Amino acid sequence: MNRVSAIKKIIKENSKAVFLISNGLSAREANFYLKNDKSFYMLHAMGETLSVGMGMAEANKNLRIVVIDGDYNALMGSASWHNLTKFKNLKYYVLKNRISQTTGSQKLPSLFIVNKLSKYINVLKISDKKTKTPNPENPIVIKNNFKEWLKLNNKI
Amino acid sequence: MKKIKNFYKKKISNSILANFINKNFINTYYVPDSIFSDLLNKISNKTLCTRENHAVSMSFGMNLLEKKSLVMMQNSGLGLSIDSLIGTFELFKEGCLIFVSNRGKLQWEEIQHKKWGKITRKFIKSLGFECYDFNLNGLDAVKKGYYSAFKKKKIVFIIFERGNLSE
Repeated sequence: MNRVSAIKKIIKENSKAVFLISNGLSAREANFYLKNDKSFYMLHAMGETLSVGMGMAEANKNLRIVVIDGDYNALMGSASWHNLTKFKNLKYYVLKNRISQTTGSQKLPSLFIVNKLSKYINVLKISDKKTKTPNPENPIVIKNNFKEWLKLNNKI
Repeated sequence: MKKIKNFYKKKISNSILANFINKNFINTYYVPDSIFSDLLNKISNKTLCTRENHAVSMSFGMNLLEKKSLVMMQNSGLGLSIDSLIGTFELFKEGCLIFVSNRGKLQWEEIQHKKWGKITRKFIKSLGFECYDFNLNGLDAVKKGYYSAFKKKKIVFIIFERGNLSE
């Protein structure tokens, strides 16, 4: 399965959720091929997508949040994993290809997940295939579209 | 010879500051610090973060849903927090309020804190973020920072010196 197919599958399986998609190829490809206003595309803040999701999950416990991370971002943000057990409205997916593809496909160490956390971290193996996609649109446009969707759907 | 421990002047009681926080913020994301230890005990809703960058990002997540949260850290965590601040609040043009304790300024403090004690204010200002001194203005500094963060959407730090709060 390639990255786009994996993200498409996650979106389909979680139709009532809003999505946070990590910076790098995950956000680029999702924004280019699967763009929708209920997704917030991170552009930077490496390894922070899960933490942003946790803040959202705390802010509205009735809103379902899905975080989609690449495996390198997941490793970078792993110091926040201990908080995963707190949230019933947060689902965390990691797309694993064992390389840091945006920066030149450097090989990554294993994604080591302790048993206690394994049920909170959904790992999907993806291929190395990548497509040439532009940077997602302007951050203010991303934010405004996302907030507009939240307002229209009475989530804020 | 025994070292005499001097402190900065206490500004207000921790209960008054905690009341302000409890009234104005849904949550406080913090990395533990002894200067804030007693204050933290009086804050109703709080989340311990293992890294300052995660505290900033969690606060940004809350901000996306238009809820206000506070971030608290010690100055030695500033370095970790910056990429997260730039990649969230600054990039998406939102404001946030951060309490930072200025460890390392007093003569008796441990050597590992000295460098941060010297550079904290300059470091924050060099990044173009706003900075208010609790040591000079007490609760007014917090109120000004709050206004700037949430009405003008700025990234604002309030600097606390050792002794400004009961520990």
